[in-house]
Amino acid sequence: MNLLLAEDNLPDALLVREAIRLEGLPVEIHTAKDGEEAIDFISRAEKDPEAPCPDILLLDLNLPKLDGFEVVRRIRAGTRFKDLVVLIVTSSDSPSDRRKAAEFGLQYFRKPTSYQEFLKLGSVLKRCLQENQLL
Amino acid sequence: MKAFRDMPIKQKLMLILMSVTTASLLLAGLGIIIVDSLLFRESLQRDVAALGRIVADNSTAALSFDNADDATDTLASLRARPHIVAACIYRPDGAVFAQYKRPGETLGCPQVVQDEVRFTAAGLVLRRPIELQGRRIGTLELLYDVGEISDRTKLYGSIVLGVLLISILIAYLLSTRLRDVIADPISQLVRATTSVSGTGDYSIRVQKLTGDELGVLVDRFNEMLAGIQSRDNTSTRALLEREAALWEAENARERFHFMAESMPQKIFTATPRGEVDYLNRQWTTFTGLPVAPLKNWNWTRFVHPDDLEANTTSWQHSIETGEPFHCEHRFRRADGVYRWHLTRALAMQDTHGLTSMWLGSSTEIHEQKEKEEELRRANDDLQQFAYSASHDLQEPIRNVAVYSEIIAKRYHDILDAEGRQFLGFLTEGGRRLVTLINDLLAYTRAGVVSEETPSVDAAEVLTHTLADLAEVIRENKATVTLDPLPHVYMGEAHLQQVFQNLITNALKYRREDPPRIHVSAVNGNGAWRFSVQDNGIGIEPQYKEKIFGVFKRLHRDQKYSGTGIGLAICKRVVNRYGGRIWIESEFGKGTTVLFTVPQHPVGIPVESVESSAG
Repeated sequence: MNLLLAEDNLPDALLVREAIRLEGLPVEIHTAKDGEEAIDFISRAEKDPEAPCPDILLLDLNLPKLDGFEVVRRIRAGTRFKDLVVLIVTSSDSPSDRRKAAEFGLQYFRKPTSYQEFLKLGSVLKRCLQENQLL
Repeated sequence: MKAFRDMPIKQKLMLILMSVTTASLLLAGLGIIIVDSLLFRESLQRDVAALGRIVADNSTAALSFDNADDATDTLASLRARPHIVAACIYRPDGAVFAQYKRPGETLGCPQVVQDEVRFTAAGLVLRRPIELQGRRIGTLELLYDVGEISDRTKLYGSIVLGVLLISILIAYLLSTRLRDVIADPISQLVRATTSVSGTGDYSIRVQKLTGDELGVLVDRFNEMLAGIQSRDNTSTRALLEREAALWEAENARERFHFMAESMPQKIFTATPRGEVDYLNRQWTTFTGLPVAPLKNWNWTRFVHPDDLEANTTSWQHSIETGEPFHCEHRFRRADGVYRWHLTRALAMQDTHGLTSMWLGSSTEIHEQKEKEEELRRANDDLQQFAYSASHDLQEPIRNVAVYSEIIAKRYHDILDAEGRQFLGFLTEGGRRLVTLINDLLAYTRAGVVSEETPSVDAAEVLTHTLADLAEVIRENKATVTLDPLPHVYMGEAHLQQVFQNLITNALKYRREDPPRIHVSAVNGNGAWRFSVQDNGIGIEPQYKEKIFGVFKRLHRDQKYSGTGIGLAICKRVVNRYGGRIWIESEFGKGTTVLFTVPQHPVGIPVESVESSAG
């Protein structure tokens, strides 16, 4: 199973990897450092049968070049991956971001400020995969 | 007939009276004469018949003995009745036996064929048999002249005529008396009306002479005059009063104009339809027009084009509804520069609630407006900055906090004691920074109010808040009670922020006894007043205001953790919705935080900070 992690902040990306590793989820993690890279990864998968197909996207909202919601809009406007499972992983606690995520029907995980709390992302992700019959 | 109609009533009365008298007398006289002549003829007939029987009886002997002289003597005795013209006795064979003629009379006996008593042209004629023991021995004839009847008629006629003349005289005399009773009051009325219409003097009254219909007429006429007179007086008084009022109004207008000229504001008045009819000198000074050109003032030409539409719409609305006019707009000064003004106008209303005039003033607020705008921009910038700063700071600070924690865990053994102490400072500092930044974010968010504020059930919001705080409440063994709470026009998240901070504070600043917290709300002065009451440590009076400042804490010790922004957030939220917040507390006994929420949403400036979230 392929997981695409769109995250520009390396420390956060490492924490996400740590959380997934500790939860023991059977996923291969691909990373995109900004919104465009994330879109490129998905376009490649659409065109090239050899390229890895993403099964789930962990998406930061505050991304360079294309912000998280723009990435979601483009994915939804696409063809093959328009129903891709997306989990928002962000520092933002703003009501408007939560509202927008809800409008897209996306799950929302706010990055906590303690290590132990952050690791809970692993269980949240696991539940998300199970709900979408990916696990 | 027309001549009679136009006659004075006096003559009419006399004429009517005399005609009635004459007619009745003539009819009565005629009746008497006719009846009398009929009765007289009947009695004459009976009389002559009786006379005939007597003469016939007296002649029986003479006729049976054929003694004509005796019969002639018997007939001659008729001389005593002067109206007997002639009398004859005939033998059965029709030959004259004896006869009598009135002296000087030429007419003989009438030739009658059957026995009867009958009036003829010559007079009353009688023929009857002369009988002896039931056997006819002769016939008697008499002729009686009826001149007596016409003599009687003439006599009666002259009597009736005499009575008539006397009656007419009496009628005339009576009619002159009647004039006093009927004609005089009417003549008096006529004279009075002529006088009133001629002089216009309604004080004239007519004397009442009788108690009949004419008397009533006089009374009514007098009443009518009195009515007209009093109405006349009233209208005269009204006229005088109106003149006085006009004078008073003129006086008031002069005083108003004097006052208006002395004021620094630009003053105007307008008709109920909104046409400007007075401007004070401040207008002409400002616009640079030589004199107030009321005729073609057309104030809209001085209004900034951008403000004009809103301005005219609002003015039109006020004119139609009579509601106060309130507008901020720019007016062009003589030098062409537009200056901000605040214009207000109120409709003066008469006793019927109709607009009688508009009174308006325009105050120059240009500098104030510019300062406000500057302040608003600065405030917006600051808000924007605070929001993005707190937001953008989150990521690096989280990195510091989380990774110092990881180092402390994984590399604990590599570090020496000093290194571990320094790492402890780093971890603690990072943790505090995270809290501060989160609080700052919450505080800036408290200033953001969405454009439409639906009403929320405060009880429901509080229940959610208590559910979020359930664990802390349980740890503190606290009891939270609440009265019925209203629906209020507040953002749900904001109200929750307020409740959460107040309840958290109440739990945090507790004494040894288990905390008891009570939430209630009362209605008054157009607002709901909420109170959150606790039995905690309370606040010293001098700090009641201070604690609403940002990052103000009264307790530095570790026992009471936090950044000291909770109440500042509450104040910001409550103020944003047009309410206020304050504290009532007795030091050592507990604290009550009170805040108000207007019952109707107030205009709240909208800030758009959320858009920067990423």
